[in-house]
This record gives sequence, C-alpha cells and structure tokens, in this order.
Amino acid sequence: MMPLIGFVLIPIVLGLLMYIKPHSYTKAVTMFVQGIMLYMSIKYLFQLHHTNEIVELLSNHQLPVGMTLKLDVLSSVLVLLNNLLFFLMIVFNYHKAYMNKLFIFLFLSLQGMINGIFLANDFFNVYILIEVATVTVSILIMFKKDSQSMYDGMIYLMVNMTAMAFFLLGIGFIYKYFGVLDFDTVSQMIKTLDDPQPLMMPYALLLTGVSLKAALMPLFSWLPKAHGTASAPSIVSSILSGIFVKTGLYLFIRLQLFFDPVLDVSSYYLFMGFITAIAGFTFAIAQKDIKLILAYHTISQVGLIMIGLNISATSSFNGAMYHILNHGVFKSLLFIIAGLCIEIFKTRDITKMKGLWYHSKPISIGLIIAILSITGAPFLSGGYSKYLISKGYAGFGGTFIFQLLSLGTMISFIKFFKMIITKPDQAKNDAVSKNEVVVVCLMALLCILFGVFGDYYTALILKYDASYPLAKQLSKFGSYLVYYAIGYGLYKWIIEDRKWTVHLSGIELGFNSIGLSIVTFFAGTMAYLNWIY
Amino acid sequence: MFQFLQNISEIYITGENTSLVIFFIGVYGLTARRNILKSIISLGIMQAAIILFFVSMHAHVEDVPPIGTSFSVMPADPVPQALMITAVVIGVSVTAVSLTMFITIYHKYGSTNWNKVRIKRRDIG
Repeated sequence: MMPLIGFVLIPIVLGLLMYIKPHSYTKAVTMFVQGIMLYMSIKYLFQLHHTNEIVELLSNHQLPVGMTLKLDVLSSVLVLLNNLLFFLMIVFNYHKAYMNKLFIFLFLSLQGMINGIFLANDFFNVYILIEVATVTVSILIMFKKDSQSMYDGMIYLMVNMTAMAFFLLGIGFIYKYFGVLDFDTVSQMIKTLDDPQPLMMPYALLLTGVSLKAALMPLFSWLPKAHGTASAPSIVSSILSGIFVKTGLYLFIRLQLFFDPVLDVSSYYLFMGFITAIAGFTFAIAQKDIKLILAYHTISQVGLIMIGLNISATSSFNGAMYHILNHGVFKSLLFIIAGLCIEIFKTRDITKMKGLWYHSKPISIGLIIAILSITGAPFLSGGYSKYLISKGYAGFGGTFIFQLLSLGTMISFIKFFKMIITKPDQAKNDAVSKNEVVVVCLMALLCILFGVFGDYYTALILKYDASYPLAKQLSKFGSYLVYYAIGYGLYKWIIEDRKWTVHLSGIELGFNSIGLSIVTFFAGTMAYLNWIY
Repeated sequence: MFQFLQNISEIYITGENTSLVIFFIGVYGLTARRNILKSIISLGIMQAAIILFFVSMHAHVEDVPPIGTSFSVMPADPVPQALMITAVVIGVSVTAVSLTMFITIYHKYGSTNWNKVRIKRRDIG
C-alpha cells in the first residue's frame, strides 16, 4: 500500500524527472502513473470503510509537535475526484502539441499540491500548498502566451495572493491564541472556549481568504477571467473549475467544523450562497463566449453547494458533498467539450457555432448528458445531488429558491442545445481524435452512473444512506420537462437578443475594485459577527 | 504628561498592533493605487506586516535565542520564526513572479495603470 505522502510526492517528483530528462515515452509513463494514483485513491476509499480516518506521521514526533497527513471521508472524496480528473485529462490531452515537458511538470506539480491541500492536517501546510499551487496555476493560465492572458494571469495571481495574506494573518491569530497549528488540537481547544470574542478576528480573516478561493458573491470577479481565459488549454480550465475551486469549499467545510461549536454563522453563508448562485447564472445568461458561460456557471454551482453545506439537515450536507463530486465530473466534461467546439468551429462565440450533431455525434451526446446533468434531470448525477440538497430545506421559501436556481441553470444552457441542433454552416470538421472521444464518453457514463446508482455511491463514498431510488427519480421527470418549457418561454420572452444582456456582459471589476470587495467582505463578516455575539 | 504618554505608548505600541496598522496600510495601497508596481509593493508591505506579527507574538525583550539544548532562561518560541522563514521565501518568489508578469504586461500593453491595461485587454478580446 502506498503511503499517503505518495499522493503529494509522486506526481511532483515524476514531473521533475520528466522535465530534467525528457524522453519519447514521457507521456506513456505519465499516463501509467496517473492510473496507479487513481487506483490507490479508490483503494484508500474502500479502506476507509473499516476505520474513520487514516493518519500518517511525517516525523517521529506525535501531535501537536509533529506533522501529519490525514485522510477522512471528506478528504477522500476530494482526493478521489482530483486523481480521477487528472487521469482523464492526461488521457484526453495525449496527442496535443502543447503537451511538452514544461506543461507536464507544471500540471503534475499542481496535482500533487492539490492532493496535499486535501491531506494536510495543519494550517500552515495548507497555506504553503495553496500559495505554490496558485503560482503554478497562474503560469498555466498564460501558458499559450497571448496578450489577453497576461492580464488574466496577473489579476489571478495578485488577487489570490491578497486573499492568502488575509488567510496567513488569520493563522497568526490562531497560533497566538492556541500555540498550535494542527487541525486536531485546534478543534479540541476551540470546543473548550466559552467566549467567542477572541475568535472573531481570526475567523473573519481566515474566511475572507477561503471565500475568495471558493469565489463567493462579492469575491468572484477573478474566476471568469481565470477559468474562461482564451489562452489556457481546455484541460487547465477543466481542472480549475472541476477541482481547484473546490479547495476553497473544502477549507470552508473544515473551518466550519472547527468553529461551529462557538461561532454559528450558517445563516450568513446560506444567504451568501443564495446570492452567489443567482449572480452566477444571471451573468452566465448574458454571456456569449462559450468558456465564460461555463466559468460563470461554476460560480452559480458553488453558491448551490454553499447553500447545501449551510442547511442544518444531514441530507443537504451530504447532498452538497456529493454535488462537489458530481460537479467536478460534469463541469470538466463541459469544459473539454467547449475546448473541442472551439477547435471545430474556430470561434469562441456560441451563437456562431452551428450544427455540432453534424460534425461529431459522440461529442453531441456527451454534451447533452452533461447539460441534463447540470440542469438536474432525473437519472443523472446533478439531479440526484440537487434533490438531496433541496430535501433538507422544505417549505415554501426553500422550494421557491431551488426552483428559481434550476430555472436559471436551464435557461443559461438553452444556447448549448441550439448549438447542437441548428443547421451547420461549415464543411464537416472531424478534428476530434479517438482518445478525446473515449474520455468524453467515459465522463458522460460517470454522470449517468452517479445518478442511476446514486444510492450505492453515496453509501460507498460518503457512508450516507440517501434512499432516492429510480422509481422516485422517474416521478420527477414530468416536472423537469415542465420547468424546461417554462425556462424556454422565459428565454424567448425576456432574454434572447435583448440589450440588457449586452450591458450585463460588459460589467467587469478592475483590480482596485476587487481589492475593495475583499476588504468589504472582511469588514462585513466582522460586523456580522459583532452583531450576533 | 510625558509619563502618561510613555505609559500609553508602552501599552499600545506593541509589535502586534504596529503590524496590524502596517497590514492595513498595505490593503489601502491595493485598493487605492492604480499603478501595478505599487500594487506589488503594497502586497510586499502586507507580507512584511504578517512577518512582524508572527515574530513579535509572545516575544519579550529578555528572551534568549532558541539555539542549543540547555537554557538558563526561557528561550523565544522557535515555531513562528521557522514558519516565517518559509513565508519569506514564498513572498520573495511571489514578488519575483509578479514582477516578471508586470514586465511582460508593460511590453504588451505599454502601461502601468490597471485601468488602462484592463481597457486595452477588453479591446483585444
């Protein structure tokens, strides 16, 4: 059995070796090692069935002096998703021209560092790994070196560094009060506190950094530029939206688990999640650039996950966890299909892409499955996890909110359906290679499996009995179709070719405004905490 | 009066409070200055403030350096110092990457102003 540190070190060392001594079989070795990593993460998942957590000491000293890596249910889900996505992306990219030694080095280092973020068991290691991963991502964003991407990469780097400075200051306060930095001891010590007053400052500072990483409402302006930039290869966008944005959500869950006994701010984040979800799909509807639509959609889905995490019911929390996994799969699928569409049609404007069905049938089917999944159709992964999230929030208000969100998602994906079924205006372009089709089909299959056998997978991965059988899923089919019809009506009535969408798509915050929004968020969180305690 | 001021300054002007003031001076620089170079410098100021915060927490003038195995008086806490060496390295590399990017941006857009660069970027896209 591979030790946990292998998840962090193997990709980084492999990438480095490949960089120093490139060879004709570099790509084959990379793919083979990715397969092993995926296999090991599945094996660890099964091992977690017998025990609650696996802890590995990195030195001879016990906690709180030593340093440990820890795998529990929460981190195992994310490690699995990370290694799954990286394996699929490497297979997908096998024949691409830009897969050179530098790209492989950066890409594999990113994988190791993301694994490290999920496995690390203390605040400072998490900070270091996020910081280095951010630098790597900013280089990957501008990998094709065109003029637009320089600005995008610079904004991404500076904004994230600012947020991480807040995070580090928060860590400073944690160390000042508790004298330790590992998660286990800090969480035990927080439980013994009666007075929430001294925790407010570190909590607000840490959460400002984490919320920016997760792209919550006022702090999301950097995300569309980073995830939707023209220069980044489509697999980089897939990884950013599929897994990297989840590091913020993961840290949010961790911090909530620590601070929850003393500071309960779930209603604040429930509200923020709701606004984020609404803002995300509103901006997505206004866009015409295929990658920007998907990037804004990530924000909307982050909002939905945030809502799920902050509802007190167990089903919603597990639904949100399952949605993190499902969203990782279908959003990556959508991004790689977007990359293929840009190659086929030689444009990024979705209104100019016509007749995808004529150009490539398997890709069209993959796209339809991904869209049905993200819009929450029955029998598909997205529908399953969205049902679980909404189950814990019954009542008129809750139903209204979730219906509004799914309606918004449906409306923003109407353009994609149009792209498939319209009449083609270009000669047939079958530039799609076999390995790309295989990956698209595999990911589409995962979307179906995670939905149809959702009961089995939630029990296996999250140890949660969801009980949402197929017959119950089938009963939702009628309402899904009715909603889509309403969505189409709304699209025709108030959205299609309207001027307000053009105005909305032009809204963009500059660097100073993003900095101001970070400060506002911090001040707002502090004010809220002072108000309720 | 002088004695009073001295007492006040001894109580309030500590390393930690000073570092918080410096941190928010850095934040002000990020939100109010449009020059990209000044933004990078502001980020550096924030990092310096954090380093001051870490090394001045639980610090006393009479502490001895935590080097060796036997101590006559209590040594200073070595953990924040060790952490800050890492943070300094990270800070330097981040500043280096940002400055490299800034040079490329200046070559491509011919401006050091965030807003002008943003407008030019929009015109290209």
